[in-house]
Amino acid sequence: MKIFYKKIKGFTLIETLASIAVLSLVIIGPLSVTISSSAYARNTKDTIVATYLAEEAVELLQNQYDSMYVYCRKNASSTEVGGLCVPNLLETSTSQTAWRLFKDRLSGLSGQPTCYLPKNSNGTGSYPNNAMGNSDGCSFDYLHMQASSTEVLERTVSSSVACKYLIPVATSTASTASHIPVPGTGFVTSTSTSYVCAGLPLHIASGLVEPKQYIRSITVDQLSTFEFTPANEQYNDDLRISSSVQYKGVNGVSHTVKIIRFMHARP
Amino acid sequence: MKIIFKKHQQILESNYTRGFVLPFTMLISVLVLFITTGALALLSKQQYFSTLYKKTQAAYYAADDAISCATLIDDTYVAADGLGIFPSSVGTPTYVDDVLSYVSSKPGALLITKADIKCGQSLIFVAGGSPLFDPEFTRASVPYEYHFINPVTSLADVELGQTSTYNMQMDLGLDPSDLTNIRHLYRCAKVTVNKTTSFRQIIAQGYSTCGGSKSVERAVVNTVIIQ
Repeated sequence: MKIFYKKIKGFTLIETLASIAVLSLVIIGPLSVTISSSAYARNTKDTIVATYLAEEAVELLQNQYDSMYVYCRKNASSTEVGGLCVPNLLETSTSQTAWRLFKDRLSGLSGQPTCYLPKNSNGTGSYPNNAMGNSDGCSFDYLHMQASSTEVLERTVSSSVACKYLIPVATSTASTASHIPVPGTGFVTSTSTSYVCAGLPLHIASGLVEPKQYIRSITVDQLSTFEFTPANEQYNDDLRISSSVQYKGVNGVSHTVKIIRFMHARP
Repeated sequence: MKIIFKKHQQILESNYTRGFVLPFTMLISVLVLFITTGALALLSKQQYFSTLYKKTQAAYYAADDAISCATLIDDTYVAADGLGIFPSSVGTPTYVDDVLSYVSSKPGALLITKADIKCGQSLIFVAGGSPLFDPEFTRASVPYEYHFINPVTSLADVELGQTSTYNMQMDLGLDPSDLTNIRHLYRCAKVTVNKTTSFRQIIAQGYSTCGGSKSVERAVVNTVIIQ
């Protein structure tokens, strides 16, 4: 045992310090990678949510036009739905009538903000009947899109304070929620609180978790395709739908996901 | 036992136990680094897939927009026989012009030429529509063969048609990150239309970028069989 105590002197302070340094380097590297990958994963999750929100807006608009088309196919005469779907002098098909009605819903009717961009300097790139336009774009929620086809689309200016935070739909206006089917129970008839603008689960809306803001802006450009006479342009055009969703990442930096799609009238 | 004790004593007396911690640390370090390398390889693959997802989404949108444009154009400009503007036979070189003349001759219609037809701000039938993404609208010289049944057993099972191709360069508007140079962003797609009198197949190949070796492609196919 005497020999053993004599030989164990190899445990020097320098050796221990060197070991600690090596181990620290080895551990800190993977640790930082893990931390950054965790942040990256959270950011990916936010991006996916934002992408689906942006896609939803485009799909909702397509659904609106399709619904309007079906609605007008069913109610084409002057005695039905107050003659809403009666073609005007320029229109030769139901699809053109539906296209006009659909685009009117996006413009600044009934005191609501327009989704159309302002005209460019050359006079193109916006809805012809709406010279002012709205560079901030509009924002809407899927609940607003499920109202009757004849109702004007309810929306807010995307840059408004009202749209930056979660807005519970008031009890008196929650009737639109009755369109939402619930498996096993049919349709919701109660006046449950829903939200607009932000895409947040209800439990987050109640304040249990710090809400993450998703601000969705939709802007619409009207682009002529052919037949440059303005009278016909309104049926032979493309709508360029830009759907942007802005959100704050884990490090507080603002990110934007943008999706651009084109819409056309049916032939 | 005696021999073992002697050996152990020899080891203790030697210099082997000097510097034991450092080699042990190195061993642990190598093990940790080995595991980390594996984890890093996984992470880098994840990052690659997420980047790819972003690109494929852009490519899919290009293909989807291109296919909706193609169906719209073919269903809007219809000849007297009910067939759309995309040629269904190699026989008539002026077919597109003929259809437009017929459409323009209808009461109240305006004169429409090939240079008027565009979709997503991209011209379809004339040169210059896709300056970044050539070539323009072309018709194959070899007829497209539509097989009513497979395998083909007689000539009656085959219908000859036309394959047409064109490229689209859709204008996505101004680049918000570079407003000083007023630069436009574009989305590109290649469209192939295989058509006979009873069959129409539109293949749209969308690309994440207009050219470039790292562009990702996704295709959408729309097939209609006319009864």
